[in-house]
Amino acid sequence: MRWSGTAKALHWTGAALILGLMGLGWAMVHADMNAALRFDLYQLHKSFGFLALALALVWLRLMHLTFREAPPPPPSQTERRLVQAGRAGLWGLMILAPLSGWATASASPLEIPTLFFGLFKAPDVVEPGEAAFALASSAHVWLTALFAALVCLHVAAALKHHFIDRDDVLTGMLPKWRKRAERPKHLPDQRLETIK
Amino acid sequence: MPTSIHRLAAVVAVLAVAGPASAAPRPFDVAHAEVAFDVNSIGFGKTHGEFRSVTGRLTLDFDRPQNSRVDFTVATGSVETGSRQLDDYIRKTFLDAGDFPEMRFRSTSVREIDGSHVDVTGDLTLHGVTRPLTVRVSVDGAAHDRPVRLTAACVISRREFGIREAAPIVADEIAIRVATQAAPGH
Repeated sequence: MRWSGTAKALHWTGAALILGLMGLGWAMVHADMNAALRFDLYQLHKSFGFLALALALVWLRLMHLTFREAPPPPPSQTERRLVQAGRAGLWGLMILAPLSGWATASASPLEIPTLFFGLFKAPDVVEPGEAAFALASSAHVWLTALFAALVCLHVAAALKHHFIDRDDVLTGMLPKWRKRAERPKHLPDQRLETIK
Repeated sequence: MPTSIHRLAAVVAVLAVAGPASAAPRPFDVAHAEVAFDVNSIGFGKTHGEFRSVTGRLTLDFDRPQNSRVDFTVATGSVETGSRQLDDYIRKTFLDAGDFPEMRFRSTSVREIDGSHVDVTGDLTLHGVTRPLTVRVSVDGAAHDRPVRLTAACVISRREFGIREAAPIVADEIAIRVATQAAPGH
């Protein structure tokens, strides 16, 4: 199983953004810090959240238009259904988690403007208010918790492919340098030979 | 006649020893002034900020503190918290720095508490609203010919000055601390 360079780039950029946003989101709410730093981290979380939403939309569009790559479906129907549900869940949450965050920022009674990396003000999608804020922020927290659980399942499934099924689903998504590193040492390095 | 001359000489001598300068309030130049505030908010914790642009006029009389006067003006746009985005938010949302570029405290009376403390009562103008305020001031180095350090702390209700935004997430009470170093002027 080999994914294209674009698919790999989208996968790993998306992974870094999603995990980074989850870590940042947790830290800005729970970690002990001064208010100025906390304020800046909230603004950073909102900006990267927009980036993650844009990436998810581009990714989803490309998946429909060009990518036809997918690991072979598992033989059992139950497993196939689980895989489909997991995939739908991950795609859905890649859109819903940032959307609920956007609603949270818009509904906040603090009415802090959402500036995309300080460049321009993002529009508000919900009127500010305590009830709307409570609903949106709870939705954001629970959707993100579900997202984190699905990411764990996704990682577990990739590891199962590698260690139990012993196929190339996991290695096929790794960057190219991985393959170079795996080259047997006794083979001559063509590039060096050419230089000589 | 000689007696009268002697009497006059004696009065002049007494006045010279007492010195006319020590009896009068004297202007002090503010060398350094810090105006800082702390406010609690739910979810953000305590926000600390300072105003970088503070000008003050002090007229101090250490023999009769009730004759002293203070007048401080703070540029509201000079607020600094350590986050530029938070500064902008505070300027626009709470201070309305565009409409109210200054806040000011002018004393109306001073009452001595002990050798190193006075209560200064005056008018605080903030956000376009003027209200009376009494502040306990600690005086360090009270002398007419040496620099003096004044520190004051008080708590104000922002609602009383018409600043109602983001309540109750951002607390109503704002703790203010002012520290000044001033040297005798000429």
